[in-house]
Amino acid sequence: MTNSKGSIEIVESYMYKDLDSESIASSYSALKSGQTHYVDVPGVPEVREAAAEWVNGYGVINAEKDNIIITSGLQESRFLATQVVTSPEGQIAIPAVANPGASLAASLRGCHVENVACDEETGLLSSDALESDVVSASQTIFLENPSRVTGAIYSNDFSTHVNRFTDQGKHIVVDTGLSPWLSSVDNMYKVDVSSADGSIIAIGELWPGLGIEPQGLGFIAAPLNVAEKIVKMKQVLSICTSTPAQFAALELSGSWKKMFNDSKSKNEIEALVSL
Amino acid sequence: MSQQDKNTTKKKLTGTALFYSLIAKAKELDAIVLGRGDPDFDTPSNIVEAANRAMKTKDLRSSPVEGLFELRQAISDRVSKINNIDVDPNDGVVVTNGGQEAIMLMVLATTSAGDEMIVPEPNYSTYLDALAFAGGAKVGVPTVMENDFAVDPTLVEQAVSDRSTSVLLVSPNNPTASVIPTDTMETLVDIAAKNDLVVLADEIYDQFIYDGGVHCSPQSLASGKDRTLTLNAFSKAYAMTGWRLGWITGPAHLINKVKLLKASVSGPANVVSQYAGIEALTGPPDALEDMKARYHRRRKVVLDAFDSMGISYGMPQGGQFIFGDVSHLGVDSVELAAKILDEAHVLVYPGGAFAPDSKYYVRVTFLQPEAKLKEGLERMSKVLSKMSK
Ligand SMILES: Cc1ncc(COP(=O)(O)O)c(C=O)c1O
Repeated sequence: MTNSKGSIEIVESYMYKDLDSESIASSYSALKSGQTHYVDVPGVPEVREAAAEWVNGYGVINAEKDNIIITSGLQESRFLATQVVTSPEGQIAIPAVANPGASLAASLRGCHVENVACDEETGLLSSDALESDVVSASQTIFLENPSRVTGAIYSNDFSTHVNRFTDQGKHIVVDTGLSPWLSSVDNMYKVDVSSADGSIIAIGELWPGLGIEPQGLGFIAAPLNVAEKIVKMKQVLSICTSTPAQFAALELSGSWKKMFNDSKSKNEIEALVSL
Repeated sequence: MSQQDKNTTKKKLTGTALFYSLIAKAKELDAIVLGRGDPDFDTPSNIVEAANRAMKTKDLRSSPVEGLFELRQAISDRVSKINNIDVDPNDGVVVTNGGQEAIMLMVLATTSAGDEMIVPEPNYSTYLDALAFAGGAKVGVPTVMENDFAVDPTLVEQAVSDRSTSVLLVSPNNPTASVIPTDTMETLVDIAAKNDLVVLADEIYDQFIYDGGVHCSPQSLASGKDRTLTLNAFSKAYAMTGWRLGWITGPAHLINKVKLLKASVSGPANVVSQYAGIEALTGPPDALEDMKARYHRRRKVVLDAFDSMGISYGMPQGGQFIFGDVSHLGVDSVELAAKILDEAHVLVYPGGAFAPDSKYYVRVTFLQPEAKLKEGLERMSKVLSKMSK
């Protein structure tokens, strides 16, 4: 499905259904009872907690509430995460096969985006590419896992590369947003956010497929040192994420897994890449 | 944490970050909040009902990055009626995630590394954060209490250099509550035109003008029309801070840049909030009128309290707060705000966080019900009177 974004087309990688009546009722009831004010910058605490638990099932490990920032959708996650770990005069490596949203977000202040050649079939960076000069010269590396274009994944042993990058002082931003659509995440490389001064960040949509999308709801899972910087930038950028979205999501989080699997098996929702 | 640690932490924080550390402390203490600009009113029920209807019945998938056409049309009608601004909803409006995102987008659209923005000070601190992010530099123009914090066009003109690209005009201003009169606005916009500057106009408090004052939008003036980006938002006027909904209007050549930036930064604003916004602008105005009447009364409560505490101020002509001079106490306002919070459990904002020259000022909002407002001011007064003994 393609969403018209003015002069820019950002292609969505899956088809979703409308929000269920319980989540609507819950959002309405929260708004009616006065949840219409600014909330904490990184998100409503209960939503952050639910999000931490949820991301730990899909491409992230060891996330706790304080690692999580609730954003106004995937694009804001891309923007905050890449901007915090790049500088205007720096360079970020982004696979040539990726959703254009990442390059748009990362290049906004002039950071040079180096599009790295990908394996033709999978759209993933090959070992050669990962060891290439352009990647070595980059301060930050952005990856999609699974790829939003092909659905292919980096497997567990990808951590060897990640460790090498972090030893070199590089930052890595991994978009894990499509991982719930995989039949199993067992073999997938997962982002560990437990180290206090780590440098690997995961981003994505929260509880996808079931209609929270038009309200914009994304996450960033980051080590505490980076999370703190992202919260500061989010304060300046948008103060907090909208309460209608957060309270709808809180309800949705409880029943998401069952509804997601049911809807998927009935083909009401589908990933538009082969996973 | 030891007292010494606390003090070092406080000293390090400035601007927006300082406000947020005070907010966190106030929350811990369950303090009376006369600091943050969040109206105590909940969003009017007709707006909440519209959101519910939208969630149940509307196709929510259709918002382009610049916002639903129906909302942009309502914004275009609103600014035409209230601000005398003429914009085409097709290419003159972008809906944003609150006024805050609008600030970042306006600053990024007009500032490259090394560019200068002329900023009357004190001012809303997020502008400086956004400017720092964009790599731009602030050229401050002081405004002073003795002159009711009026913006002096001569000083603005003197601040122009060959690196200037924009001038910021926040009217009513936060934190000083000054309003730029029409004749001054005309002069300021002419200066901008003569020097080819973009005017960044922040009108988030345009509904709150007191004592028969008049609000003038630079974008409504002939020489401002093609060079002004105007920010406004639903947060303050409709008590919708949590919905994260605002807008920017401007000429197509600038709005196109803003739209592109919006797609890079976040994508369309929450579509449910957008439907709520349509109701806010097109539904009955009763709730807004009621809130305005209450703010008038509360403003008087704060002015009376300041008078009795010996706090001087420039006459506040707009907004939802008053900026008072506490220099007679001889204590830096960051320290004073911390003391009032610690001892009286009342949050007020230190002026120093808005501009270095305002370190002997505090900003007190009137965004609490009258009884609570009075209670907060009384508690504050007790702390102050102990200090002046
Ligand atoms: C002058 C000014 N502009 C913009 C904003 C941002 O408002 P919001 O993002 O809540 O709409 C504020 C908030 O206090 C403000 O005072």
